[in-house]
Amino acid sequence: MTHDALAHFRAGFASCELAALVDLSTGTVLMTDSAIKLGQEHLDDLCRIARDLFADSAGRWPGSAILTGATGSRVFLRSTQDPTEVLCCLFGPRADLARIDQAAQIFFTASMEN
Amino acid sequence: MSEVAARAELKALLARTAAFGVSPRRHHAASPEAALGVVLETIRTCILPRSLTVKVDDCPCLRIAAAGGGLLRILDLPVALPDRNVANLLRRPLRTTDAEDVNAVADLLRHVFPGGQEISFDVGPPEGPQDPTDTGISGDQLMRTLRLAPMASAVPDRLAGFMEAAEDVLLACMSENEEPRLLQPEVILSTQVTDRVQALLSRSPNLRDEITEDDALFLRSAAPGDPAICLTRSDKGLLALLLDPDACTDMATLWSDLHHGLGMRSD
Repeated sequence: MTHDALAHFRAGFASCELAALVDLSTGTVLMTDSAIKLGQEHLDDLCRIARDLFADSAGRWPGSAILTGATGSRVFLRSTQDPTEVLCCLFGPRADLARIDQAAQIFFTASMEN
Repeated sequence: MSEVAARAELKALLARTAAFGVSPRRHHAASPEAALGVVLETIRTCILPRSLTVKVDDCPCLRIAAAGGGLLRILDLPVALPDRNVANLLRRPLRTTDAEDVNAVADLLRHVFPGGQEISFDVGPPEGPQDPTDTGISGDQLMRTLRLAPMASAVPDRLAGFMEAAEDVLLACMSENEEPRLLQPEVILSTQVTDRVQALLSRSPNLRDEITEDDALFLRSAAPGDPAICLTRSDKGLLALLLDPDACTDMATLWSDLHHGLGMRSD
């Protein structure tokens, strides 16, 4: 995946404030694209949640996760090619999560193949 | 441009058009409390930086910069308030710690929103980069100053509302160390699924802490057929709802909507 691809994906959603690619095995953020400059602590936090959610890194469970509440939604999608890589996106309130999930799956699968 | 690229561009344009409010939700605020409550509740939901235009009967009457659940700056006040000097409040940083600012802004809001109004909002990206020293006046502080109680949510009992709306796709519910309660007569849950749910309910204190009273965590398997799981909080603790996996993301959207009411969608 290239940074341009990640930025292009994020630009398709008005409420997507951040898109990040996380490596679960090392707990590092591999790349990000965001509308606002988030501090490292926010990225670390996102990484920690991803590791908690996908603790079973060898398995297929879960494939995706959405944590949603009053302040917006965090969408996590595990790569089907490499289960240690997770796409994390931060959305504002009222995002259409069904459409986002579908688009994210298509994007993530295609970009990981390239 | 290929047909696929053209369609993708058109979809992105439509999404952006929708984001900036083709048909914003209207709030009929009969009383001053209702009008101020709607405005402040909307400010409180602006966590990421936003430019927020408040309209009364479709006419812009207040434009503000909001972020972190607070009002950072008053950008514009198109309504005339002849008996008040508001110029010194415009386009400058406001702070919760400045009692004079807080009282002046509360007083201004009281005059702009006397009730008997139809209120709607246009939400857009911030005008420019946010100054990190702009802390603004928190929505909670304005509510206290105006003697308003924060609304817990758009739906009084979110979990009950969610379960009622999702009735057709809810398969079962489980609490920690309890047998699953089946919500559809024909559902058969495998041991693998119930073990997975119990593991989620009992393990990972970090994950449990992440799910606050307002949140729901939706988990879906990459393998087709496995039920999706929604973890949320009930008055008895963490609760797992098992769902039809095909409805998982729609149910996540529904949960999100229960906070803000059904209306404008941003994507």
